[in-house]
Amino acid sequence: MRFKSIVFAAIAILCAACSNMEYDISEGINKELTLFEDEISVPLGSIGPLTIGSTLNGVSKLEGLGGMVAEYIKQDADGNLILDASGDIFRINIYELEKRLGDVSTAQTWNSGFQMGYIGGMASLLGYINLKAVNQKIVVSASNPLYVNVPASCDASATCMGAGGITSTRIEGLDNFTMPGGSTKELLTIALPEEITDPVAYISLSNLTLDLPANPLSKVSDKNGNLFFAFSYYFSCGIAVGENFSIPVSDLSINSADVAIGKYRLKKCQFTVDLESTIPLSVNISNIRAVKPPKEDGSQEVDENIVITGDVTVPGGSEEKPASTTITLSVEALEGTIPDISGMLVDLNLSAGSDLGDVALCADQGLYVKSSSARITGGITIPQE
Amino acid sequence: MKKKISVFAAMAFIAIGMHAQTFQQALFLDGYRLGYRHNPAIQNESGFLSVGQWENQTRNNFGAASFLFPREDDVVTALHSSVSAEEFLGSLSDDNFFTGNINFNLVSYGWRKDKAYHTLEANIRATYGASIPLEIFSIAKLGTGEAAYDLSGMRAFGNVITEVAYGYSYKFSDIVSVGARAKLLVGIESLNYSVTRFDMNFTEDAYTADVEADLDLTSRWSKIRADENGYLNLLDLSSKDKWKLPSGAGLAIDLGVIVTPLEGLTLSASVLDLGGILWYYGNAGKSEGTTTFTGVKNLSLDDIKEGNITAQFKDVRDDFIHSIKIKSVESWKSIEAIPFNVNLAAKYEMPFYRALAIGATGNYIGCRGMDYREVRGVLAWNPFNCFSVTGNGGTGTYGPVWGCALNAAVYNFRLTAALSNGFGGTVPYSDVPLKPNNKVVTVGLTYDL
Repeated sequence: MRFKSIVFAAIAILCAACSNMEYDISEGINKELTLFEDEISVPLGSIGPLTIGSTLNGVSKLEGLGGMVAEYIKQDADGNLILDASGDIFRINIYELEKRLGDVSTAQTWNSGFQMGYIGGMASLLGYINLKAVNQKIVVSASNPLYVNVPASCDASATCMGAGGITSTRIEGLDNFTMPGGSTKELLTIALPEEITDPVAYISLSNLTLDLPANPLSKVSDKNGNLFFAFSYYFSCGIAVGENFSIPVSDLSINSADVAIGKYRLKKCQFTVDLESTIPLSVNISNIRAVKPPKEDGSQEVDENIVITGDVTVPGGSEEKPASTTITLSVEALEGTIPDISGMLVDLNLSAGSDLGDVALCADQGLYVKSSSARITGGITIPQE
Repeated sequence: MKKKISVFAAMAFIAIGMHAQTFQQALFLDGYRLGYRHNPAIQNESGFLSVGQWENQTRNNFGAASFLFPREDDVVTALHSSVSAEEFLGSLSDDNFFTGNINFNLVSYGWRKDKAYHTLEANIRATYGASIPLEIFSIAKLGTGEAAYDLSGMRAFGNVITEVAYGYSYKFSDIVSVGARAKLLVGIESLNYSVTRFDMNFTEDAYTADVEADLDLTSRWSKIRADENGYLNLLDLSSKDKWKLPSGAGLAIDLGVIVTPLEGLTLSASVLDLGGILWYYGNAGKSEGTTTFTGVKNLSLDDIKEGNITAQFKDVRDDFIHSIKIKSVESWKSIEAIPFNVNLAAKYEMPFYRALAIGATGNYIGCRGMDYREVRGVLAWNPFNCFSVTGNGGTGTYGPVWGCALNAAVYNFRLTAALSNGFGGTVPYSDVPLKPNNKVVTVGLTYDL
């Protein structure tokens, strides 16, 4: 018995001498890794070009307010961004018209008086956000429910409102015209002079007279079809920014920046981006703040421990004169490491690019991230799981 | 020109041959019959036959303790934040390697004829190893603070040879014996993968890798096929039309002398493995290329939304893999010198008790980039013809070393078992050394004729 004990003790001593139990990994190893403790630079590459067109083409659909505006913005055949609107200037049912005419046994001229069609939609808002309307075009159409031609006449004008005050432009060509029987016809298309950059607010027809035949109701071409005399408009215009354009936005919330980076325990990240812009808008982003993940009651607050600094100003450019700039943005935790970020709050200012004059927005304009890189200081921790 | 380049290349990578440390206690263990391997001048009293002696040497200039660190109740890796860069990188060398050598004795036969002693033996020897430069670990731990890194020096190698050796020892007098062994080396297989250039440049704008690597694989038994672009497909082997000949052939000699200037004092000196082997690299390849990573290219919003970034990184990875793909090159021959082995020993038998001896050994293995040296003090006890035991301690390239050996006989059978190791311990329940180490295990059985 004593001999066995001595043998076992000897084996135990020998094993202890050969092995260092501090390094016992039979229960596993802590696999948490922290790489690049000093610093690592990572080339992120080029992005884009991110053109206005690609943003609006529906594949990369914008969300929120941007998406709502994008719904109204269209592209013409040349890629120019346009806003358009259509509607009635005046319309009257043939039954109502006969009632107003009274005695319809003989042909007579009917004067509708002053009629006005307000331009609705986003186009009418351009002036409110200091955008300019260019290449304004109006198409006036008339609809005749009778199967006979109806001669007509009026004084037509387009009234523009905006920074330049109220200006009216006479629409030539409607002094005397014929409304063909049984159809809707484009009467004319006019383009407003280039110097008019306030959008059209309304189109008016004064002294609109129709030379109606006797018993017009009996001459309706299709009693189950169109029964209206109508004048309608189609308005379109390009969008341009001018030197007065400026939209400051405070505390713009970017909620989609939900970045779960807390587990990587980053201390400081610096991003450098070389940008080229052909958008005639200068974009300045300042006062960038990180927002903490929502609390249980859903409220969120700015994470004061995270400092985001940098000069984020993208100057406006044009296709002929692209603007190049380098942006640096630094994200750092004052204490500890950068936790999860639920969103961002920024102050944003969009303004016209300097020295560019009035530049129409078109689909090909955009941003091109020519190169970008990230410099991470203090290591990247890969959690054990 | 090609041949010249081959020779230079061979000289540059000679650290791939047989560099096993011989059994250092051979002079002290009286019953050990294969002492001529340590010094070809050593003679046995009678003839012997040996079959199947196993000798295994493993050597590493870094240990598991360079990568594992105990922390309270946990063991963390070197890349854990609690391990400082100095702690981790300071425990590594510029070139971190491990190597192993297995020497399996098929048969040995020795016989005495007057003052001469003859030996004849056949062995199979295998060598393997790999090395990784420090910069790779430095990048992982510290990042890319420096812009340029030289990651060349990565290599992996292995070879298998058979050895047929004839030894002759002659005792001129009671004072001097000299001996020599001639070895015929027959190469079975040899593989070298060596990264001769691997310049990594890290900047914010781009990562650039400039790689040049050589793959040399012998084998007359099979041919690695190349695809239509000339790249070797390592999984596509063909033995068609191959010579059934050895891949290498060479010669080496061992020289030794034993001097007994005083009664009881024995001095031993030997130089082993002087020679070389001519390898025929029937499967040779080279990878060469430059890859630049500048991040993703012209990423669109759609790419981001649809997760196509991964695909872009896959392209980059494919580019890099393409740059290190091995293109078949012309077969070539290479003479590779064998790292030599120098052994010195002195033994003094106590005049008052000749069975007890003390002494010292010294060993140097010349092996480019993997040199090794050590000295030991030895205490030997050979009380009976059927029992011998030695113990030793000393210091080597990697610090203190110790060893012990036993020879025991039953009738004409003799069992020899020896272990030479360093201090520093192992990872519990494994054989993985914690510190840089040189370990030799010897087990053999002989029959006295």
